[in-house]
Amino acid sequence: MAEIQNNPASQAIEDIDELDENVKSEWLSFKLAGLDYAVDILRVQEIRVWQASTRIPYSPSYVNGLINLRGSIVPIVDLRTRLGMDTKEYDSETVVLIMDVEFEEGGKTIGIIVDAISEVVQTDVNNSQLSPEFDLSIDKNFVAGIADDGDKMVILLKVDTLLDLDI
Amino acid sequence: MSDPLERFKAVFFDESAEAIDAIERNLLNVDDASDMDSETINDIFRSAHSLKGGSATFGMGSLTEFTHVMETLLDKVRANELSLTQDILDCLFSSLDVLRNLVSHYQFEDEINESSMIEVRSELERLLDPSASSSAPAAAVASAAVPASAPAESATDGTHWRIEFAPDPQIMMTGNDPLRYIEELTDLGEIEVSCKTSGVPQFGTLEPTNIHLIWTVEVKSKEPIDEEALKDVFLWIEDEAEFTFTNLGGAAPAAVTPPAPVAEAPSGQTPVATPEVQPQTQATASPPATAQPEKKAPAQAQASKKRASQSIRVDLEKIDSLINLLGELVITQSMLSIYGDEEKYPQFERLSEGLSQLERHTRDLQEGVMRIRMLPIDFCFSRFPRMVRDLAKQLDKSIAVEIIGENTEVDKTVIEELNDPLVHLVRNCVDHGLETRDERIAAGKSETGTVTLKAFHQVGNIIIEISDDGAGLNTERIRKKAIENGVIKANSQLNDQSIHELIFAPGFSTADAVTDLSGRGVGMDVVKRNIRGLGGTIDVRSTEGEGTVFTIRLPLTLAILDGQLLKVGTETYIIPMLSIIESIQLKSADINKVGRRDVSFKWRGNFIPILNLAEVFDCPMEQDQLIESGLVVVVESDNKHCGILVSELTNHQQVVVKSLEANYDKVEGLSGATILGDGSVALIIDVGALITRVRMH
Repeated sequence: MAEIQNNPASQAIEDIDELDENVKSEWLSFKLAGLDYAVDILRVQEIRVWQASTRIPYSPSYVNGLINLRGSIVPIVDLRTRLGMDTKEYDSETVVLIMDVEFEEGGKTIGIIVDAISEVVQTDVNNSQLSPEFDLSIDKNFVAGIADDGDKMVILLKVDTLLDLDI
Repeated sequence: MSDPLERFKAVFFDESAEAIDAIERNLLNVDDASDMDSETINDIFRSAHSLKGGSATFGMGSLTEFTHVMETLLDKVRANELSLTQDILDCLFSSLDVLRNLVSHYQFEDEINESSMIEVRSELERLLDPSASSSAPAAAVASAAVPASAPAESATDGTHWRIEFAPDPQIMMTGNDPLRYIEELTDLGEIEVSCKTSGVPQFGTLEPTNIHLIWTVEVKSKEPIDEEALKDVFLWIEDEAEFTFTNLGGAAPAAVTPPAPVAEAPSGQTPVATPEVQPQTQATASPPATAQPEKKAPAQAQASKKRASQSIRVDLEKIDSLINLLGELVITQSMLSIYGDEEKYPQFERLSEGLSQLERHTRDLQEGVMRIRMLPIDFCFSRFPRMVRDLAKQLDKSIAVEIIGENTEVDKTVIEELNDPLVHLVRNCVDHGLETRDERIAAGKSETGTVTLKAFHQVGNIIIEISDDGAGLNTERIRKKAIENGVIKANSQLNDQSIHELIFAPGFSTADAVTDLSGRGVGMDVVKRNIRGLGGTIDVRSTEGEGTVFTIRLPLTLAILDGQLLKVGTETYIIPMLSIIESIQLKSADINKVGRRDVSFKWRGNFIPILNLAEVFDCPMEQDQLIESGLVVVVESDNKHCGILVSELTNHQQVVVKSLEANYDKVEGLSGATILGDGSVALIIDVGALITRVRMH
């Protein structure tokens, strides 16, 4: 414990509600415009290959459309557009992550489209931190923290704010 | 719901609602025939009795007390001590309201309406009382029986009781073990038990599952025991055994036979039922039956017949998940049906046979499952005779209610949503539609007005008609009122029908005086909104002096919709068949333009607005393309028409309606989504919203 208290980042880490102190959590990482991002693996219902969706009139640009998830109507969100990046043609690597999202009014199921799936990243207080120092060029409200996965940096996303669609 | 007691309570609440409804239905029957048959009154008594028993079990004191008084009165009627006068009937009707209030108090923690409870209760007691002076001998015993416990307690200290306990021979068959009740007495004090075996038959005739024993239990306690506490122990089996409670704590032994003390008295049985007479009474079961054993037999037969046709309660969620699953099956089936095309795949002849069979079974299954959700509309209609009766009394009108087609089946959700609009319509009929007696006689009609509720099926829809034979809508008054309230302009030219439809306009009311029944002006437009929310329509036809008919047209179910698939460019949308009038081919010259915008076209002699779906939903295509194709679907909602431009009409099929709100949000102009045969999602158009939208522009 003494070692952690000496760590200047520890105070900041306590503020991160997505990361439990000392407790390891697992994140599913994926590629998006060359960078690695990750979401809490416990929120991921399933991973699907991309399939054509039905456009919803009057929807925000980042809502790609509706798909049929075994009888449920599920909206899918283009994560590149949501985070303000350039769009890219969907290809065989494009993947849809079906997420459980918690809102005040109840839980919903929403899919996110990402470039490609990477791996499972384990985080704990030693290899993750909050990210106030650098500009990630995406909305800070979406970011839960940064994880160090060996040589590369993984941006951890907050699913609930990320998918709180402004419809 | 995990607490078992809670679960039993829930069942009790369900049952008590049923019991109250049953009493009401029976009372209405009596009312109609103005005489009563013993079967009906027995039925009423049984319902009240089970209500009392159940409420006592769950410690709902007020309910038990109240039903007890009611039961006492009913019992006298049953024993022909009291004749069923109009006073008694009215009082019983008001008691039902008190009961409903009490039940909802315990169920939902509603406020108890104390004043009405006390009022009705004292009325019940007043009705009980005069009989005491009229039928002297019976009343003497009866009145002695009711307060019996009071003097008994004062004369003795209640620390020593003797209980004669003679269970019904068949008691074991109901799952009750007498031993358990005797054991339970040990909670109250020390017990000493002796058993009388003289009733046991010869070994050869002995039925091993029957009980022929009579126990005498003496309970001693340091603290005085209330007689009620002793009775409570046997509450569950009070109808399945004979009891005598004797207080030995002091001198004069006072005894009461518990379940229906007043009934006992006139039946000629002495209050102290000695063991010697019990073997005979055992054979004829519970105490009230001693007076009328042969009446009970047909009653039981009838009861069991009712039970046989009765239903089980199933959580609606379970049915809904079944329907969802079935929707999936329908989709899978239609996905497979592509491969059943024999011309395309001649090598799979057997497969295509199997597929067509599968299709048939799927359709039957779908119909069957949908029917689970269906209830006869009687569930909704049955409350109206009572309501109209009360209102008629209040307004001093003479009104009969006629119900036609009460067995017509409707989706449960539709029935629930239909309740409020129907109440409002019926109230309007009674309050505004039907005239007073004098007015009717003056108009040369019979004194009694009629409100008719009628339901029937018509090509996949259910039609409900609420009509009265009253004065009809007063066209001139409606017109004046509408001008006054600013609903229409003073110079507008409207035909009678259009004026009648003004009653559905928001903020419109013609009642000269605001009554507590209707006339607050929030009525008809809300009714209309509710009906539209169910995907239905309502209209009114009225002839002055002859009456008014409201016609409600609803889809049979909300879960499945009869839809027309159409394409706008590459996108597929669905329009409910219910709102489509026709599809026509227009030349682009037929379409009137204002500037670059397409505005209207002439249809059946009138100009109706035209709507370009590609523009409305901002579809990724050339909007002019639609005009070139000129294919127009004419739709109707609220008697307003509109033409919708589409690129192509495809299938007509039943679709399972899914909500957009579940995972997304409400979308303007759409009422939901569905899944097509190829597994893709298609959006369902809300015609009403589109028409309102085009009118606003």
